Amino acid sequence: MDTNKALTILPAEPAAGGKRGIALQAAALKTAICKEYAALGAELRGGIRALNDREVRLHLAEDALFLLLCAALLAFMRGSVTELFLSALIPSLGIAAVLVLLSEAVWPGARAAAMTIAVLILIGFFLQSSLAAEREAPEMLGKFVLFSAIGIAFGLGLGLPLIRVFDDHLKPAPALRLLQTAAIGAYLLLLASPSVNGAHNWITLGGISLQLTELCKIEACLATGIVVRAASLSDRKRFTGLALVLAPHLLFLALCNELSTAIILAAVGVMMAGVFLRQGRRLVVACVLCALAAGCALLPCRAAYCKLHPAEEAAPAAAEASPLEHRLADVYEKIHMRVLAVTDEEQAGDFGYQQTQAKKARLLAGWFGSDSRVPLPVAESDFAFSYLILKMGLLTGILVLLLWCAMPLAAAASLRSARPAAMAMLTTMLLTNLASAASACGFIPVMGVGAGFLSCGGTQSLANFSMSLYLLSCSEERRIHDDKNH
Amino acid sequence: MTRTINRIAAVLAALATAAMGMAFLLLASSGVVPGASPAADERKQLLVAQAERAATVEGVFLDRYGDNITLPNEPGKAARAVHPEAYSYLLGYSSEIYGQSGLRARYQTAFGGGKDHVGPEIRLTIDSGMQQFAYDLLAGTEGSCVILDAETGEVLALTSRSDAELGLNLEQLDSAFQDYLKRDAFFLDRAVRVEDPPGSTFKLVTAAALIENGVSGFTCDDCTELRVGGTVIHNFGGAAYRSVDLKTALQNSVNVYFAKAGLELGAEKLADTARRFLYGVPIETDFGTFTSKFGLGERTGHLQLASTALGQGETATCPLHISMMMTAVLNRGVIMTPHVIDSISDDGKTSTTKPETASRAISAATAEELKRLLHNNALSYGFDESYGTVYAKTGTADTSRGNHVYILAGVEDVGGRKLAICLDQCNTTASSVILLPKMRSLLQFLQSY
Repeated sequence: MDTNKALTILPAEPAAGGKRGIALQAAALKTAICKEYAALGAELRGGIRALNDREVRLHLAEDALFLLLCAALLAFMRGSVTELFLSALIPSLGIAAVLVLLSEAVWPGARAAAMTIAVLILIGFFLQSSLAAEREAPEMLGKFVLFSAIGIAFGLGLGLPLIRVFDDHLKPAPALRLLQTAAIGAYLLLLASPSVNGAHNWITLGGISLQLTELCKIEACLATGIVVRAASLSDRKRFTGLALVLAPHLLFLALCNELSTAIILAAVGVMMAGVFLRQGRRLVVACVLCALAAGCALLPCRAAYCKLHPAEEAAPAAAEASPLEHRLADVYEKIHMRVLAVTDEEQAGDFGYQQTQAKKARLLAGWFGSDSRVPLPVAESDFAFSYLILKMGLLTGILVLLLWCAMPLAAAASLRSARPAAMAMLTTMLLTNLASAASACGFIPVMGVGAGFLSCGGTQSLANFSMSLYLLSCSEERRIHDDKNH
Repeated sequence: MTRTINRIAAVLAALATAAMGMAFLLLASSGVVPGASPAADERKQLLVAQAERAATVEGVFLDRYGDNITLPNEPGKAARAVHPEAYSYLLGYSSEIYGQSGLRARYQTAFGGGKDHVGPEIRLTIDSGMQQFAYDLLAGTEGSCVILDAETGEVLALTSRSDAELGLNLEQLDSAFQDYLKRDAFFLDRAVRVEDPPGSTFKLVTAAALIENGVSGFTCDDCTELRVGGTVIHNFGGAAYRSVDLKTALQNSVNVYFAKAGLELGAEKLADTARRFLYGVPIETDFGTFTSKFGLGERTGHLQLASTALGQGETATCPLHISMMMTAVLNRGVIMTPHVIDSISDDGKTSTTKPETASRAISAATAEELKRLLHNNALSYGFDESYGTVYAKTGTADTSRGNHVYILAGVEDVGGRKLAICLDQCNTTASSVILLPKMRSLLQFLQSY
């Protein structure tokens, strides 16, 4: 079964509304899920059979040796192979090995992409083990191991199949409706959740904290992919459809105070329109209009901020401000202080503490890292790149930047054709990682962006591994085992 | 399709270029390439020094007997103070947030961590027993106590209190710093950094000038008041004296006598003696440089001269310097440079401080004469032979914040040493009489110590 569809024309389906429509969609979804799991099962069985091939085993041995050499080099750079590094070595090699095995045995065309992800995983584990040793908290490494293992399991067992269901099996209109409904539902849940430092990014279910915006990124990539693939529609309609798909995301992300994610998704939308649609001029106009709209949107925010923080001579009017004005003022203050944190640390005061510490780490790092202890806040997640530079040096930081670029390049090279959803995911992952690195280095005024495979985050691991496995599975080469013929 | 693929390639290439640009920016702004960013290079040097300090165990301070004044702590953290209040101003605080002060700022930073990342071991001349006793003596007041070894210049006690209700506790710095900031002049070391007139303690200098210049026989027939330049100088409490000689004047601290004596001596001779007592001369010690202000010159007016001679005018000094005046009396006219560091050991090497002469203020004969006069004073204050052989002079200076009262004392043969002591209290409405009981208590302690 060849599930590797090209950029094809998807016929428009007749509308089916009401209860019958919902029942039809439910049946279609169930069928699609069954088909996809069957396909995935066939691929995995094909991969297992491929292990009988001597050449495949030889490639796996080469990859394993390469990973071991990388691990040894990382341990050497840290100066010693301590007990904690050994405890990081085994799980990191294990998880990297799963990816390598999948790429060699199941999706052989994705070897290069899998290897770059595997090396990133190794670096991430060594980074977290270094942090755990420094803080004398080995449970931190255990947490990272657990999140990575769950990420792989979730990605293989649920994330990848669901992504392929929506991208390959479902008809565009119902798929789009389902995705958008799920996304809006997630955002409404987030808005109702308590805010943490002004951001509504987490919901807690049964003691587990979920960062739904990470999963909404996958939905946004799938939805934009569906829209641009609908070649039966005119470019103008697809352009409008793209805007209508992304607009709710940008609005809700702004309301949740997740401005960095909003900017990333907006950039992905611009990329999708520029690559897959023919109306370049319309795109430029749209970008200019969006930038103007964003600027205009800041005006009421600034007005609310000035109302809540009047000059000393004016009488305070904070008590008369509405909840919306409070929210708008928070947005403006957050943007203003973050820009100050990059441009003027002294004025940013306590707010710029994280950026100041990140800059210290960058200056003390040197080429190969430093033993200096710079108290980096959330070094295990948002400032993981900053901590990486501090402990492993600028050379390793640049290597990680190269790997982050290499992964999507390698993944794109293995695609037989341009798959819009895959392209959107590649761009989202790369932009997120670059934003994480840039914010950790104090170059851009954003915060709270995790670095792919370096940061410790449960939902981020689920999303990263799901998208990565999907990209690997888009390889033009597959080993599929059909039970009927064997 | 081909156009789409090309566009995809262009987007990925643009993102890869952005990543390379960020890598370049990272290199340029991280100080790894010298000269790429001067601001980054400068900041990096500062951070490296801070990081070195953070990785260093602060060296310990010991007292003269080798007992710990501070105990070692984790790298980067301030050593724990055994006497968190008695030594607070001398030792100084060490905080990541608020920086360093006192001896810690002067010595631990300069020596750094060495090869073993451990700061130097610094042995002080301070006697912890005297230091603690002197600090306890200051309870409920604002003031200081200085005890010097007159023959060597060793500082045996140097303690200060800057608030009557709150002491500077080194172990509570981070939690109480905001409270400390609310107190006026809380971090002022009153033993060495206050600049107030010496009051009647300066009469020791005027008396020395009279003796040195052969005018010790100067008498004042009517010492009730003195009119100089439109100003009337009175004695303390408006007391009237007649036929006053130097001994009586010093014993009763007769302002009019010393004002007239100053006019008799002239500005040049008084200034010369004062300079030999190091007034207006920088006093460089191993815990700071201090310079007392002194306002006598060739064109000094009579009022200024008269005021200076009795211990007011433009003269401003600190209790440490006042105690140094007594060392000249005890040490045959020689003032030794005060030093608080006995030895410093770092990386296996030890350097020891040697006593230095700061000035030959007066002749040995003058010193003997002053001893006789000041011993007479001490007896009049009630410091009889049970306290040892004591020499003393009190002083009360007018300042804008109220009175600054002093008692200057010298005592011989305390454990084979000659000690010069200055005990003071500032911002008070009382006279120096209030210090007499405290000095008695201190002298008793020293005799039994």
